[in-house]
Amino acid sequence: MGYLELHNIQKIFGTTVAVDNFNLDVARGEFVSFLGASGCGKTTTLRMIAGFETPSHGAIVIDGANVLGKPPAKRKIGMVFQSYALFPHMSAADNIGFGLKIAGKSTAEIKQRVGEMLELIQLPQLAGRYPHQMSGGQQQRVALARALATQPTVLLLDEPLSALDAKIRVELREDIRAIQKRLGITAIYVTHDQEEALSLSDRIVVMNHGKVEQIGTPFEIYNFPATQFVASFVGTANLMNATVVDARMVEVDGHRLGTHNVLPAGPGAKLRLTVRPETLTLADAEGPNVVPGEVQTVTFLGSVVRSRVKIGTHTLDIDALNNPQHVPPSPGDRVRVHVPAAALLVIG
Amino acid sequence: MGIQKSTRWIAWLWLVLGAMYFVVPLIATAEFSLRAKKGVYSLLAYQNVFAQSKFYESFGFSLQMAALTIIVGMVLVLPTAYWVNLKLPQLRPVIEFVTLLPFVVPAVVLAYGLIKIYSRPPLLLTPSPALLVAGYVALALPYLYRSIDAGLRAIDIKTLTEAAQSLGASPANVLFRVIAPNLRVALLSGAFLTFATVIGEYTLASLLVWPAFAPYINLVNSSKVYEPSALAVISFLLTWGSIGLIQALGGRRSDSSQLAGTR
Repeated sequence: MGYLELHNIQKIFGTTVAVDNFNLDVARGEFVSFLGASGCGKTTTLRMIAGFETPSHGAIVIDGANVLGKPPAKRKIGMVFQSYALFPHMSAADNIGFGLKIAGKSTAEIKQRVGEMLELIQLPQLAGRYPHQMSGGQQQRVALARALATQPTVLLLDEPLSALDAKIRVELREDIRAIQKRLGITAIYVTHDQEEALSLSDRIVVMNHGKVEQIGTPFEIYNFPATQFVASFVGTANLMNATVVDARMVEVDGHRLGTHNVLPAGPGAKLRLTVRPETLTLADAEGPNVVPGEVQTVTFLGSVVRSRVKIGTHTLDIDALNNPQHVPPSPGDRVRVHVPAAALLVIG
Repeated sequence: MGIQKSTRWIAWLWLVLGAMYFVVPLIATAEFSLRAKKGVYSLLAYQNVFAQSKFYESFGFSLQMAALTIIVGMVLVLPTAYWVNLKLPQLRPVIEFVTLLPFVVPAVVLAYGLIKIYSRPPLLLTPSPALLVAGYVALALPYLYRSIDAGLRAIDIKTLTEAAQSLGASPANVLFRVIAPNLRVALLSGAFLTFATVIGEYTLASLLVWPAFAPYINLVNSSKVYEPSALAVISFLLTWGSIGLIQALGGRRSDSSQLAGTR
């Protein structure tokens, strides 16, 4: 039993299935991210939780009560929008106090709560500023305070950092997580940014074409992707076609590679394998799970140097930490690549 | 260079001709209104106008009707335009066509239609100013709807509505506490255009037999020489005053509450 439960949620727009068979239990105080490309159904799902869209099928339960049929105003949710959605004619303090005013709180209560919220977002000096007098980051902090002021049961964040520049984005996402932890509020966060989802979330729901591809912790999602989509959408993935040789051995382009786990198919079966670039290394000598190849390109990415190596019909990316003492290979170099058995994963 | 210079000359020429078309009759009217006293310029015509109780009565009546028309029109148009923009954007062309009907249907046809339908029981409304207000609302629809629609399109009403709803606001709270305050300039524009329409409207008031300002000007026109010109100048000043008020209030607003973007 979760604090927020989504049961068999489906949403159909005309002939398009935007969300299909979505099931999720979110514990009280948990931070869950919906991660996926544009149009995958993540925002639609969030909007169904908020009450802005009605599911075509399924149930949404918050704290034991089915909220379907309840208008957004009665769901006790707080929402932060990508475009901030601050009321332009109100100051920061009035924006934060809006929900409390609607709820009929006394002036003294509103003043106290608004003060607390401004302290929480560390912007007490901006109480009297209007939205157009604040930066994007400040506006989004005020929007967060406004959403939290009414003490909602669930906080919904719809790509809240997308409109901000990179530095502010990192700062604000750390603040969002810190505030969420401090208040212990259940939060659902929609993003297409894998780094945001990995760094913020207790769990991630990876979505594709309206369907849930995988639900797991950031560690699970990154290290053990369940599908090809998850492997390639979250981080960089090398994909290989392999033929099973025996329970722990496959053949890729004539090269035999041992695997750590027992393979799910018998000899002769075709499998799809994935391996992360940072698990591959350039080897000095031949040995088990070492395959020869030719360097095609070398890209300097700052902390990492990415070499693209052609091995038979496959091209593998290999990431090595940048070391000024170690000269990276050059295009055209013949190299040997070590593929650790534990790094080879079979994907669906 | 030569072509540019001649184009500029032509532009100026048209501007001057256009200005003359509007300004010369105004100056002539104002100048004529000052000639009531033989041989000297004076404000006698204005004194005569202001000495007539009918002037105040008719102007006061039109003011009341304008205020009522603005209120009724806003109550009718604001929620409609808001709802169409928010939930039924596909209906916008239909609504726009309906609001343009007053430009197609002459006021005299509208007046006869109203008299025909509402001059006998069970819908005997001709003795009530409500019918006049209803007619004025119909005539002001194009101005009111367009002003409010333009204002609504300039703000992100969907997100603002959802933000307010997520904070517990009822539909009425959303409309009057969040959306309407951000339409101040649009509402003022619509209100003043409606005001100008009602103050200058002759046909409906005359055919429905109400003592409005425009029929009064017409009456004075048929019996006096200089006073109609004075009344025309007063009407112009009232209209210009209204437009000035829109600009003053609009200018102040743009300082304080434009919609903000990313910084």
